[in-house]
Amino acid sequence: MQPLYRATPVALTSAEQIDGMKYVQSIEGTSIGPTIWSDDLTNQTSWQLGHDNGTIGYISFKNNLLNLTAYFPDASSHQAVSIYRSISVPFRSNPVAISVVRVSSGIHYGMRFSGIDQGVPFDAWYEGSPLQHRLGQGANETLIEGLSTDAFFANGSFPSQNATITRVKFYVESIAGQSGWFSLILSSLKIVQTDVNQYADNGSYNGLIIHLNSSFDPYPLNLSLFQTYAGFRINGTQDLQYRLYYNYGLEVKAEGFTYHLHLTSLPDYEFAVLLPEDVKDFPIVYSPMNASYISVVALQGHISSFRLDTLLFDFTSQPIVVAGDVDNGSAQFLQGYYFVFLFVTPIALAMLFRKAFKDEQETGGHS
Amino acid sequence: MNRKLAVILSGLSIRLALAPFTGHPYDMGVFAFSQRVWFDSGVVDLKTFPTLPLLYFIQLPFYAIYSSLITSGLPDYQFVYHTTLMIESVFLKIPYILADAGIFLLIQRITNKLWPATLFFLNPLVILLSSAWGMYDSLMLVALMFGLWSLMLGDETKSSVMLLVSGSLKLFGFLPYGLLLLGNLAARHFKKLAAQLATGILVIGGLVTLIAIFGGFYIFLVSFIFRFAGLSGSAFGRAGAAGTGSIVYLMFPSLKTIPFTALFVIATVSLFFALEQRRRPGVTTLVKWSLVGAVLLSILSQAEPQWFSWAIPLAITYGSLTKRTGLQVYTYLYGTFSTFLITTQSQAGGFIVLGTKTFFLPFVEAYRNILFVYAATTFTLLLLMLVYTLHKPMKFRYETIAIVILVYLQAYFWFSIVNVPHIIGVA
Repeated sequence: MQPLYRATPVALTSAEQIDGMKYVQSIEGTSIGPTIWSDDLTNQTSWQLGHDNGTIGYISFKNNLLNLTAYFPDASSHQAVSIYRSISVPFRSNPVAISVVRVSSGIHYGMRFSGIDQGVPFDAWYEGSPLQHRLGQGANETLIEGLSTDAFFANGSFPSQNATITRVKFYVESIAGQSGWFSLILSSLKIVQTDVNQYADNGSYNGLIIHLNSSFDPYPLNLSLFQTYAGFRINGTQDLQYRLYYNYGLEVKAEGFTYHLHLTSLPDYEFAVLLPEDVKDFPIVYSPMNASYISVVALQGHISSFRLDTLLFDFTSQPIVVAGDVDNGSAQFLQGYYFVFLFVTPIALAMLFRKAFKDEQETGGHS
Repeated sequence: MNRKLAVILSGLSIRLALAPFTGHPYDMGVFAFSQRVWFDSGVVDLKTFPTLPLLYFIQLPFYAIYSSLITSGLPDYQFVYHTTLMIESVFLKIPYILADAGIFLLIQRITNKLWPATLFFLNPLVILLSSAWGMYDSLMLVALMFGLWSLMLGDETKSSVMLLVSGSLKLFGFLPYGLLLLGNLAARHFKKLAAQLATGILVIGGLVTLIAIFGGFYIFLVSFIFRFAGLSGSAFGRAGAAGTGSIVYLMFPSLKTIPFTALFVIATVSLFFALEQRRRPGVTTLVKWSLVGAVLLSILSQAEPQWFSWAIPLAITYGSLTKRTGLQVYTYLYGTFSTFLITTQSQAGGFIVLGTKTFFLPFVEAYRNILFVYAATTFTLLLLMLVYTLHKPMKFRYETIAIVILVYLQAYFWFSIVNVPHIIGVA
């Protein structure tokens, strides 16, 4: 529990800015490699249906599209209808699953993979992942899932290189009180290999890793990260949307907003801020080594060129704490204090002064 | 006691009661960081300073006093989870608090009355921004108001310089400056126009040079110009109450992709100003269209909650120039309700009080689709401001309070309880 106040003398090390450009060692580019496995979405027998009591589900195939239609009756708890199939994909070579789905607006859905490692089943998905319980948009969406990282977050360790991904599942789910017919249309499903090479201009990358050399770590021990700035020129496909992360090995230290390219007639420069309090997921492009690096992840489209010119790390003695623990009584007292001085006192005084200044309205002025 | 002094002392007391214990953790943290790295290690943090550079130089002398007090042994303390220390927080906010007082004095001079000035100085939104949040909009506004006052006194040179200073703090200040130029162009006062234009080129050139020297020109372009013009690359990323603009964008998200909305607003306002200026030249028209511009920018661009404060001194001034007492009183309701919305919805969970998020009043702070309720209510407040501005002068109607409360409750019912955004697929 945080005490109400702490003696924190301002010392010479209360804030420090580190120029990360001095520590940039190399840039690697990751790109989508050959397809390891794919489904042409024509074989009805390989897919099976699972659904909760009372719900209805149908699968149909047409023009290389899989259409899951589900009905949810009114219920007091959430319900789900799912489709799944067996697959056999070796876990080697950092597999990435890519699917394109179109899900009715308002219903939630998700994609899940699981496998077997030395006879023991494991999940390659985890609760809290952005690929779970997503809200349908009524439009095509591309889902990209790094199976290695998701397996790591689900199990706390990476499966062995001999592991195999054995099952894929898609589900739609209703929340309490939500009823009606909804659909999930799957138009593409494949698992690809990820290739990692040294970055070169005019490539086609789905992500970049900017490695910082070992002298960057550890950064100021008595201070905490406040924010990271990155200024860069970037170009790519017209639909490019990307996000930056600052990581140490498998730990995300700070995450940026999602950016898209400016209009083509304007400079391709972008300035991104990465904040520790904004960390909400893990980048699909990462390095398992215990060292600091920046990930640039293309959420949509591809990066063709990238040039970093600014990388600043701000450290401070009082970082932002998004969800701190505060004594209930003290916090309520403070809220009350705040409301009294922000609302009650000014409004009361304004009313008093209104009476005192009544003569102004009658005489027309007072200087 | 002198009545003016009574207002100033009570307004300052409220502000000083809030300043040490409150603050927006990120904004205050950024400002404190820039000052700390200069006084600790001599690093000029202008490259990534999140505002136009003039603010940095305004903060320096105030922080220098704080720094010397600390060096001479004054202890300072962190309060709950705030990113700045308590006395440090006061010193960072003093320029904004003084600017509030300056605006109070300017409004009193302009209107020749204490009551309208009091409506500004004791407005909860004004107090929130300068003394609790720690936001510097009042610095921009004090320069803007000084510019308008100079214009009323007939000193156009001083006026244009002050409006340029205002724009150098926040880009909005360039709008009345642009209207001033446009007015002189329409009236064919070419000598005046040339002098004001030259001053503008000098000030803007100086500003850009300063930014270029510290190496952040592209950052400035991307973070300020593009964003103000609605061309920010982060347009999709910066969701939340900050940058949402209004209900228009929430209900029709595809509208967010339309570029140049801010420029469209500025062009529209300039056009109407030019048309009216031909019939009624003078300060009143300039104040009116600056006010309309402030309101429309809050509706149709990536507006931040603090942008709502721009309309307050302009509306009070316009109310005084056109005898719209209803508009003047309405600014108080507008500010109070905006503050309620910002405190409970945009910066909810005790963020400004505790420096962290803890929801104590879930029924007003953490319910479903809270942003829709926030946006619908602020949209109504802004529309009402336009009605009081553009409609013929009228007294403040107490029914307005009921309308705003009703809109808030209706929005709460439809957006949160019935969950209309979910039904139509936008949430």
